[in-house]
Amino acid sequence: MTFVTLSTGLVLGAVVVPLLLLLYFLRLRRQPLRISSTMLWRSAVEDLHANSPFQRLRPSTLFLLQLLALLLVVLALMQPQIEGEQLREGRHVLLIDHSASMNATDSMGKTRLDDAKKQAKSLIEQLHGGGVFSNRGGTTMIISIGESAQIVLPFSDSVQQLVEAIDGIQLTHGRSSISDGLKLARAYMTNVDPEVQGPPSQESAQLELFSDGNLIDLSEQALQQGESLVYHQIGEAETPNVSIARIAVDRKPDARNEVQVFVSLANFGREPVTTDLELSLDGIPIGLEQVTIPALKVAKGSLSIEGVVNMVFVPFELTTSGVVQVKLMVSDALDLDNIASLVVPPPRELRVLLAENGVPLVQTALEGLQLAQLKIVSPQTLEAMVTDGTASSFDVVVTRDVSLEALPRGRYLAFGGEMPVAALRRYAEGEGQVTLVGKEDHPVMRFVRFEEIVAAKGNAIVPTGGAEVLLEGSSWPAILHYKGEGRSIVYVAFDPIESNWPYLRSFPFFIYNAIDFLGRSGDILATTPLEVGSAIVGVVPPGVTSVTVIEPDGTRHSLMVEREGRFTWGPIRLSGVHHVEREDAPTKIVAVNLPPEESRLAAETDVQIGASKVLASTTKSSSFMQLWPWAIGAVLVVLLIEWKIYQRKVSGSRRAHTDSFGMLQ
Amino acid sequence: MSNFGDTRHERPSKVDELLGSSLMSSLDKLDIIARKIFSGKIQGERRSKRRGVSVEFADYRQYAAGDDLRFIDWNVYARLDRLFMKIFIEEEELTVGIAIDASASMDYGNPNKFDFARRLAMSLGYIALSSHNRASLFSFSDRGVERLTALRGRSRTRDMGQWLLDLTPSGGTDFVEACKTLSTARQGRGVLVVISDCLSEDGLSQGLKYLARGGWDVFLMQTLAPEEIDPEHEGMEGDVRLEDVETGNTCEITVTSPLIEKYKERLHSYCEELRTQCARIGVGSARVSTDIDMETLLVEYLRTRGLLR
Repeated sequence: MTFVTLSTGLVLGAVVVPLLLLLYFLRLRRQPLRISSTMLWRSAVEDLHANSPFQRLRPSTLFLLQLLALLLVVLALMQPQIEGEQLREGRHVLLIDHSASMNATDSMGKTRLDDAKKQAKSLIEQLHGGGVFSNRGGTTMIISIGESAQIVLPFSDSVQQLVEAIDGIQLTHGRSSISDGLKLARAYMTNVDPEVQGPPSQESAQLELFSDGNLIDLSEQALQQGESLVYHQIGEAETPNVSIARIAVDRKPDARNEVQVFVSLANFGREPVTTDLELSLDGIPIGLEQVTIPALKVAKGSLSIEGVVNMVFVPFELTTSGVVQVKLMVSDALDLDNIASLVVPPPRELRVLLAENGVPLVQTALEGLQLAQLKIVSPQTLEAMVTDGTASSFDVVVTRDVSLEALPRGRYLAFGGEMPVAALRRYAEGEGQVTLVGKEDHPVMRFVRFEEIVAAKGNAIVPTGGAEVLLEGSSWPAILHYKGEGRSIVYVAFDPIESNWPYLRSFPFFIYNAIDFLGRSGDILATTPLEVGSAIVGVVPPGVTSVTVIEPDGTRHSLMVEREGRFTWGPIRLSGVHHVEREDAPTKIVAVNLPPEESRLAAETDVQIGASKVLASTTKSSSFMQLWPWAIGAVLVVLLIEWKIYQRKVSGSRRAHTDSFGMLQ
Repeated sequence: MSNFGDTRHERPSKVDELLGSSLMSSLDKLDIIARKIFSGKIQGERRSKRRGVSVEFADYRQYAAGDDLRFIDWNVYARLDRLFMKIFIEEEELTVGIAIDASASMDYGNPNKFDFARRLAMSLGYIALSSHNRASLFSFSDRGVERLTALRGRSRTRDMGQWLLDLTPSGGTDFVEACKTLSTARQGRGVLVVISDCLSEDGLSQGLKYLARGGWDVFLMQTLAPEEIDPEHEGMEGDVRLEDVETGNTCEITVTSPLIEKYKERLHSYCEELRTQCARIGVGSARVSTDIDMETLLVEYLRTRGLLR
């Protein structure tokens, strides 16, 4: 226990306690009373001839109660307080996690964010609880961390502002990342004083992390000099939860009107869960399956692997577009991850424009696909069509060993040749190589066995901004995907004729994937569910100047369309169905699902930041508490008792006495 | 200085205020009883062991020369031809002594103890004089014993009253010395009524023994004021310094219910001890509060106690 205003209380006590004693002595200046004999009184009382001051201080209940009340008042003025740990002065940065997992309700119906706020406010009281009569030094900063970090309140010493800032933090449905939060904190901790020469100094600060520990990038961070981290564990280590980990919808290649829904379910509890899974289309239930999700598998140590079950619903016919939603009919700690949605675009055949030098390798493969139109032109004709804009009427433009001068907005699959795009610029001829690592989770690389591909030569490219390597070779990137400036390009950095690829089964698979990926990229908002934290990006025809994004909670955001017809809105805050409205076309629906990582609700008992392992703070239950209100309450109780005793004495003195004493015998 | 215990009523200054006419008429019917049978010098209303002149026959004896011929039983002489004298129980006069404690402690209370004692003494004296007994009044304190003795007849009532009015309570109490004096002050045998608050630190037993051995039929009237019986009820409260009017001793107290209860216990045990001592040596005793009605005390209370009839 510490005292905020110890000196005030001591001074006051030094004044008032002797004053009470003085008053007591003054009050004991007894009224003289002449009586016939003191003989009987002397034997009845204990303080005969008590003339010295110390003898006067005989045990008196009323006096002791008055003294106790006074001491309690003095104690209250000292402002005693109990704290879980030693007070920490200086700067503090409170990093409050408000990611999707903080929506979990594993403690008495309150969310983890509520618990985090409570603990954070308790810490604020501890750090700044100077009470009425003093003001403790030190400043505190509030940063909310989720998909991105946000400064809720810069460094401040105002308890009211800090508490209001904490209360103002809202839940999000995204992942939790600490890196942005640390950057922001460090930016504010850096002391840039133009009057001080030399490099800017960074003041030390105590980082207070209020989280369940499920931070995607915590281990990649490290504490800098002067920094220290206190981890306040929010939530329980054992929190069972089931979730929809992934959802995928696909039209059958041989029957484009039929749709298949693939669902992956996860169980993070120690017991298997049997529940129903509901499938609905545009809000109307069309299927119900019972499913048992196996329990969490605990490996050696603390590693655990969630139980996973994959499901495929019976294909159903969908000739138009629609919103598919699957829902786990179970109530657990986190309801958000029990629902997942996806938008299915209408079936559509593609129109492909092909220009190829040499043997028709690609043409052969394309002819095997189900396309609305395959137009084959010469490279020169393609150049002209690109120039006059007629090429833009095709869904995908395919080239092999063709180098174009300009590349307008559109979707391209290019084998060899040079692309007029900075990110795909060739800097040297690549020597022969084998392929090494492929990005198998990319739609273009699905079912593409790349291990056997050997290229004799190619274009050595250093991928820069916007270019993503889909297949890495031993010397140079073999396949890249570039997206930017209204163009989406899958670029194969070598001519297949210079490799063994045309003889492999993966070649037509790749072409099919690439045509499908590029050709349906207009439906990208629908075919691929977005995740919280990402952005909704779209392209609108010329003439459209604005679109409106409507969030699941009804919040509307009006966006101005950029010069190239693109619009971007983000980061996505909530999971669920988003609508994109524009004047000249029907509303486009975008499905956003919860990041699967956030379904793992087991709170970490310690976190690893860089090389430091930080155990959860033990101050969770020992919240800071001001004791002076209790002291005041005790004063009132003591005064009540004192009044009661006094009243009893007074009323006792008025008690009915014996009748005529002459009849005592 | 608090007025607790101070006499608030008007003090008696006339004999009539000591003994009113209505009370006087009630007392006419009363007489003082001696539990012992005494002999007096003159015939009174008291039976004596000595045979004498009265209406109550006691015995016969043979006539001897010089005997009063009026007491010869002539009927016996007619039958037996011999002279026999009738012997009657002689009714002697009774000495009624009334001793008042005139120490300063008696000048206390409301009603005042000393005034009460004077009124009681006046009443008992009047009863004695009305019954043709000899009345003697004493007052005692540490200054000694003052007396007014050998009063006879109702005509001395006023003298007795005036003597009582002239008494002034002061000084301490030397009960033993007073009793020694009183035990030798007896003129004939009689009843001695001692009126005192009996609050003596030296104790009363020795003095009472002197009186009992001195031949008195002693009756002790312990007189206490209401303030002494229930001080808290009479207004004693707070922190007070008690001062003994006789000794000057002080005692500082805070009036609380437990203290009052303890005081009452001590008072009760003190009185009970006094009563036991009196009973042991054949002294009658009674305890009265000064707020009791005098007629009730005399007509009812003391009659049941055997002092009056």
